[in-house]
Amino acid sequence: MTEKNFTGLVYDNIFPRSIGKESKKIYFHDSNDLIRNSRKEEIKKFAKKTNLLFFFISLAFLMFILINLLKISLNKFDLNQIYPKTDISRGEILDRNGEVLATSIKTKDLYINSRNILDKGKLSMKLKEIFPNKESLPKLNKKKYFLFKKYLSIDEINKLKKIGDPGIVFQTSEKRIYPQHNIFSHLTGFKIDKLKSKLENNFDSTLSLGKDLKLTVDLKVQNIVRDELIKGLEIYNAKSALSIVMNVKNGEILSMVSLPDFDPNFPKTIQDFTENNLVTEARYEMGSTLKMFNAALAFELKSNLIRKNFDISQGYQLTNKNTISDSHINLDKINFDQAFVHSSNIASIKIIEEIGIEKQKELFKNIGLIDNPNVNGLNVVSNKGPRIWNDTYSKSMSYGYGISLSPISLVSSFATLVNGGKIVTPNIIKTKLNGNKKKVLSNETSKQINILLEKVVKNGTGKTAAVAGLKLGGKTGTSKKVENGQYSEKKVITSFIGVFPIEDPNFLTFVLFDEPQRNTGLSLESFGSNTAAPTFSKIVSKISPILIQNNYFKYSRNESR
Amino acid sequence: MKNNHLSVSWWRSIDKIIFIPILILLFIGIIAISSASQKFGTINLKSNLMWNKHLIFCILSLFTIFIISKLSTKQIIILSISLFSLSIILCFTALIISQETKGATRWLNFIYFSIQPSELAKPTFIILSSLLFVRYKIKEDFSLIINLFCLSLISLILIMQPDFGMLILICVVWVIQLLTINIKSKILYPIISAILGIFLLCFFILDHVRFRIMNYLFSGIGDNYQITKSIDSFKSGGFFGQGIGEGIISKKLPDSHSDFVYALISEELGIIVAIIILFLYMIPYIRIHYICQRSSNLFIITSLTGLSNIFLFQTIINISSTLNIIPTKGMTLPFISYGGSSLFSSALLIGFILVLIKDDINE
Repeated sequence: MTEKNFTGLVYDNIFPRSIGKESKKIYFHDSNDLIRNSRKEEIKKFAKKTNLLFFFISLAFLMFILINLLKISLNKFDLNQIYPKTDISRGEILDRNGEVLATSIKTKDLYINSRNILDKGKLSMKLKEIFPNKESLPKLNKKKYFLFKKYLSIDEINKLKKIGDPGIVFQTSEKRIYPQHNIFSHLTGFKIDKLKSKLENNFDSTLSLGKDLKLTVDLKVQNIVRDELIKGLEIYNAKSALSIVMNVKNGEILSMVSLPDFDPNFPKTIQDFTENNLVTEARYEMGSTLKMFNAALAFELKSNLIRKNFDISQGYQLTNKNTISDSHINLDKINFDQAFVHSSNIASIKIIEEIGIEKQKELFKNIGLIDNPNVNGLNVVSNKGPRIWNDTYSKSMSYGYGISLSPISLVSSFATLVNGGKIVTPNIIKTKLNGNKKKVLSNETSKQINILLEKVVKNGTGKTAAVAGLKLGGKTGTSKKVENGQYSEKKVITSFIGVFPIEDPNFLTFVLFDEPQRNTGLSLESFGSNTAAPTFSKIVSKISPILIQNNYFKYSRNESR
Repeated sequence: MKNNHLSVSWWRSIDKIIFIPILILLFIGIIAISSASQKFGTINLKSNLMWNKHLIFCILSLFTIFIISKLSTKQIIILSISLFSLSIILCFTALIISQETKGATRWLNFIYFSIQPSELAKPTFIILSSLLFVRYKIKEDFSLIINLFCLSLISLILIMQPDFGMLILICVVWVIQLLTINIKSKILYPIISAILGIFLLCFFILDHVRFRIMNYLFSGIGDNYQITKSIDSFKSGGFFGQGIGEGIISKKLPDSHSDFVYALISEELGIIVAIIILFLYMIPYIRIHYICQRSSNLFIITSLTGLSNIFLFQTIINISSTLNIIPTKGMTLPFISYGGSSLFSSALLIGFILVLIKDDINE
C-alpha cells in the first residue's frame, strides 16, 4: 500500500543487524523490504523507458518503410513497355489471301549455369559431341551463366536432356520463320534478335503487340512474276532486274520483285548488293517510257501537234557535243502516233519545243514525278530531277534522260496517265481505300493515251509484249547508263511498262533489266523491245487469268467493304 | 455445448486488439498464397497441394494460439524451456544429418513434411532469456552466464546453418532485453562489443554474407535480379493493384510465396493494402507496449519487449529487403508467408503474448 506514495528511503525501519570485526562492514536488515522494493521500482521504471525508446525506434522504421512505399507507388509505370508480354508471339505478315509470309515459332535456347554443373569435364565432352562446331566451351570456367546456343532442334533437346546435368538450362524463345523464303524477302525484310529490316522494322510496334500485318500482295502473282524475271535475268545475263504489278485504280501493289534477292531465314548470307529493294531503293534514268508524258501534254492541251508530221531524217543538235538521232527508224517523216509507236527521240524533242518548258514542269509536278513518293512501310529513295530546269534539260527529259526516278514513282505516275487522270498512291498495306483522288488529267486524254499504248504493242516497238487473247498496251524504254561521267554505249537499262485490259486499264506491269547482255543472235544490242517486253509478255500471259478471269478487282473491293 | 462454453470463455479472456489483426493477416496470407501457389501447382485451388497445405497450417496455427493462450505464465515458462531444448537438439541433428547428405542444413526432413527447428527456438528463447535476465537482475548470480551460453549455442547453430537473418534478429532482441534491465556498464560493454566482433568476423570470413552486403551497397557486383523484380512489382501494382492472380512481375520472383510475398501482395492488391498490412502489424505492437507501460511485473515487461520486437523486427526486415532498404535477407513475413514452421513459430509467439497480457491484467 505504501509503495504507491513511496518517494525516498525512510531509514526508521532499517537497523544494523551485525557489525563485522575485521572488514568493518555494516549489514542491514530490510524488515519491510523497502530497499528491495524501491530498487525493483527503479528497475521497472528504467525497463519501461528503454521499452519506450525501442518502441519509437521501431515506429520510425515503419514510417520510413511507409514513405518508401508511397514514393515507389507515385512513379507507376506502364507494364507493357518494360515487360512486353512474352507469351504473346510476334504478329504474322500475310498476303492479301491470308497466306503466311512471316511467322514466329516457339523454340528453346540452351543456357549453361556453371554453378550447378556436377561434372565439368563430362559436360563439356558431351556438349562437344552434340555441337561439334561450337567453341565456347572454355567459358565454362569463366562465366557463371551464359547462352550456349540459340534455337535448339528437338533432337538436340532430347540429347541434352539425356546428359542430365543440372547446369543445363532451357529457356523458351521465339524464332522468326519465313515460309516463302526468297519470294518476299525485299518486302518483309528479316528479323533476328534485335536486328530487323524493311517491314519487320517499320511495323515493329504493330507486330510486337501481336497484331498481324496484311499486305496487298498476292503470293501466286508474286511467284509467277519472280519465276519469269529469274528466267529473263539468266537469258539476258543482266546484272539485276525488277518488276511491279499494280492496280492502277487504287494503287494496291499486287507484286513487287527485285532480283537478286535473299533468304530472310538466313540473314547472315545477305550481301550488300542483294539487300536493296530496287523497286523503291534505286533510281534510274528511264528512257523512252517517259515519252508518254509528252503525249499526255499534247492531248491535254488539245494541241494541233497531233496532226503534224515530224522530219527525223536529220539528227538533232542538242548540245555542242551531243547529237540526237533516230537510227533505228527507217522513215524520213513520221506522224504524231508514229513518233510513239516507233519511239522517236527527235519527235519527242520537237513536241516539247512546241509545248514549252512551263507546261512540262507543271505536268511533272502535278503527276508526281518531281515529288518524293511516299509508300507506307517501305523505304523509298527520292527522285532526282534537274538542278536547273533549262531548255537542254527539258528536251532531255522529253525522251527520258536527265531525270532519275525510282521505279515505284514512275509506275504510280504512269498509272495516272491510264486510269482517267487520277493521282494514285502506291499501297503495300491492306487498308480501307479512300475514294477521293485528285484529278490531274481529263478522261479524254487518258483514253487517247490508251489508244496510243495499244498501237505501240500492235505495230511498234512493243510487238514482243503482245499476249494472245488479251488486249493490252505499253511502252518500251531503253536508256544508256552513265559510266565515268559519260553515257555508255554498252551498258543499258531496258524496261517495259504495260497496262491491261486496254479498254479500261486495271492493272499495270513494269519490268526492268539492268545491264542486259544479249548474247543470242548476231546483235549484241539490247532494247526494251527484245528484253523487257518478252518477259512482260510471259508474265502477263500467266497472271492475267488470275487477275481478270477471277474478277479479282471486284472481289477485292467487296472484301474491303 | 461444453466445448462451446469453453471457446466463449476463451474469447472473453484474450486481448482482441491483438488477436483480430492477426486473424486478418492470416486471411490476407491465404489470398496471397492462392495466387503465389499457381506457379507450383494447378490453377484449380481445390487440387492445389500448396494452397491446401497452407490452409491446414493456418488452422493448425490458430489451434496453437487457442491452446497456448489457455495456459498460465508458469506453464508457458515450462513449455518454453522444454521446446527450446528440443529445438536445439533438433537443430544439431539437422546439422549432423546434413553433413552426411550435403542437403539443406536448416531443415529436418521427415517422410511427409520437413520442419525448420530454429524457428521453434525463436519465441521460446525470448521467454527463457527474459526469465534468466530477471533472475540475474534480482540475485546477480550465474544466470547471466547461462543466458550467454544459451545465446552462443543458438548463434553457433545459426552461423553453421547459415541463417544470418535470424542470427541478427535474435542477437538484436537479446541486446534490447539486456538494455531493458539496467545492468552495470562493466558487464554491458564487453558483451555488446563481443557480439559486434562476431558480426564483423562473419562479414570477413563468410563469402555469401559479404556478397549480399556488397551487392546492396554497390549494386553491380552480382545479379540484382530479385530486387529489381521486387521493386518493379511495387511499381506495376500502383495504388489499387492488378487484381488477385494478375501479378506478372512478382510471379517471376523465385520466393513470391515466402520471402517476397509482400511484393506479390503489392502488385496484386495495391499499395493501399500493403499499407493496411503495415498498420495491422503496428496495432498489436502498440497495444503490447501500452500494456507494458502499465505493467508492474519485470518479467512480463522484459518478455513482452522481446516478443513484440522480434515480431515487428521480422516484419521490418522482410518488408525492407523487398523494398531494397536493407540487403536481401531470407526472412518470412509473419502470418502471411507460406511455411508451417514459420506459421507455428508466429502462433507460439502470439500465444505467449496473449498469456502474458492476460496474466498481467488479472494480477
